[in-house]
Amino acid sequence: MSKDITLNVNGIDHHVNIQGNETLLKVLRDKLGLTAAKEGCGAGECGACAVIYNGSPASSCLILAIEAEGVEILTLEGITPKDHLHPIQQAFIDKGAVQCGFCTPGMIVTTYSLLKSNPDPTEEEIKKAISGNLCRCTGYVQIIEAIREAARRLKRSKGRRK
Amino acid sequence: MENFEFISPITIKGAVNQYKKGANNYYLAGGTDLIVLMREGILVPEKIIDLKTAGLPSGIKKLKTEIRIGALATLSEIEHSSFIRKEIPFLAEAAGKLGSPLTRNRATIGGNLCNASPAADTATPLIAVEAKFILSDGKKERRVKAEEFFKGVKQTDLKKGELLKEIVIPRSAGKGIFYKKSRIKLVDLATVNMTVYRAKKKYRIVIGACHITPLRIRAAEEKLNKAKKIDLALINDAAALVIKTIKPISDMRGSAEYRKQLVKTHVTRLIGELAGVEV
Ligand SMILES: Cc1cc2nc3c(=O)[nH]c(=O)nc-3n(C[C@H](O)[C@H](O)[C@H](O)COP(=O)(O)OP(=O)(O)OC[C@H]3O[C@@H](n4cnc5c(N)ncnc54)[C@H](O)[C@@H]3O)c2cc1C
Ligand code: FES
Ligand code: FES
Repeated sequence: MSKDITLNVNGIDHHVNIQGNETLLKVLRDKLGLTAAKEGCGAGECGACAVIYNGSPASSCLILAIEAEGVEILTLEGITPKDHLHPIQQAFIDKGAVQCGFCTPGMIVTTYSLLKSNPDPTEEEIKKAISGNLCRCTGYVQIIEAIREAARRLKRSKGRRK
Repeated sequence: MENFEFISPITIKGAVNQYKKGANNYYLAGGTDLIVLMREGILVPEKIIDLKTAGLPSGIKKLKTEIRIGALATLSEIEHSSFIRKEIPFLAEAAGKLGSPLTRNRATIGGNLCNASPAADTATPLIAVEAKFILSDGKKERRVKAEEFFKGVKQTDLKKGELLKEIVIPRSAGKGIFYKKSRIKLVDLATVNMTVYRAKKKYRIVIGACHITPLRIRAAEEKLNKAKKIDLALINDAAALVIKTIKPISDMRGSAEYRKQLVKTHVTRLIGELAGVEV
């Protein structure tokens, strides 16, 4: 079946025609041009396709676009400020946590969600939070460092704003 | 993935009626089992009926004598529920060890049970607390014991069109321990999993991933329950009865022999911990 639906992505309503069997990931990438989320495994194992779905990170490859109507979706594009990088993105660069970069959008989405609910996570909490995001390049050490650095920077900038 | 018709019923009755209209229709909860199977072409549904709009109970309810968990409660909700963590910590732990947070944020407890993998992580704790499942066919409801719900690999007691609505857990002061062994610490399906539970000096032992269904081992329970005093020799006898009863297979997660060894080691350890006996 095909259907016209409205998807709320990054605060904007998008009207799209979709097939019943299209995943949210496919529609984000192919129909809305939001290509930050990647297809690694397509089976829920790698986290490259992570988006914030109804407030929590989830694999968009295991969500049908048709069931996403009416749900608030946030992708990396929506997290990235217009004119500069998000502190999490900058920390990933500064700490050498990006090699091929394929896992990075999913890692940052998951990190964003972690630091929102837990601004000062322990190493164990970081490891648990990113346990669904696989990276075949970095060996994770730099990613964990980058997440700790991002937490520090976010806390500092919050302190400044007060 | 082949195309299908997608239906968003607004009542349980509507969901069941739609389901019964064909031979190849599937209910959808979190989709973390179903969509993988559809993607691989193992399932080619005609209709997908989304339970998330059908008015099923979702949250966790604390009543005077029982706890109710809606079939649509996610594993994350159960893992983080302060109430479940306090009252049935071994269920919270099992939920928190299913897949990764990305999976748990979508995966539901109803889906985990209805998918009926012998390794389903929420099965052994629910059998151990003698939970009952409320099944609905849109008109009538019936209750089945958790233990009797599982009929075989991917087979349940659900009749055509029937769905799992709610899980009922009697409140009790018992103590339980969940154990899961998987190839990697986080994210993988269990090589074996188990719950050992003790209430009023009676033990319940439930082993997963070692049979066509999760399995309660009554012979071993009786051995412990009849004894006046529990010591290491008795625990070893009970563990031997567990090993005698299970029928694990060899697969990519481990050989039958390895599974038996794991079960022996850890069932001994868990009973010892609950009985206060050094093993
Ligand atoms: C990466 C990954 C890791 C995983 N790791 C684990 C793990 O460690 N342990 C584990 O046990 N599982 C694991 N799983 C499997 C899966 O996530 C769980 O079984 C999950 O709980 C399924 O729930 P769901 O809501 O996503 O089910 P769905 O996929 O929506 O449904 C599963 C099946 O149950 C049926 N169904 C769902 N709800 C109902 C209902 N209320 N009444 C009747 N029928 C219903 C559906 O028709 C379908 O056949 C993993 C999956 C993935 C993708
Ligand atoms: S592409 Fe979705 S989890 Fe791998
Ligand atoms: S940087 Fe290559 S997969 Fe992570």
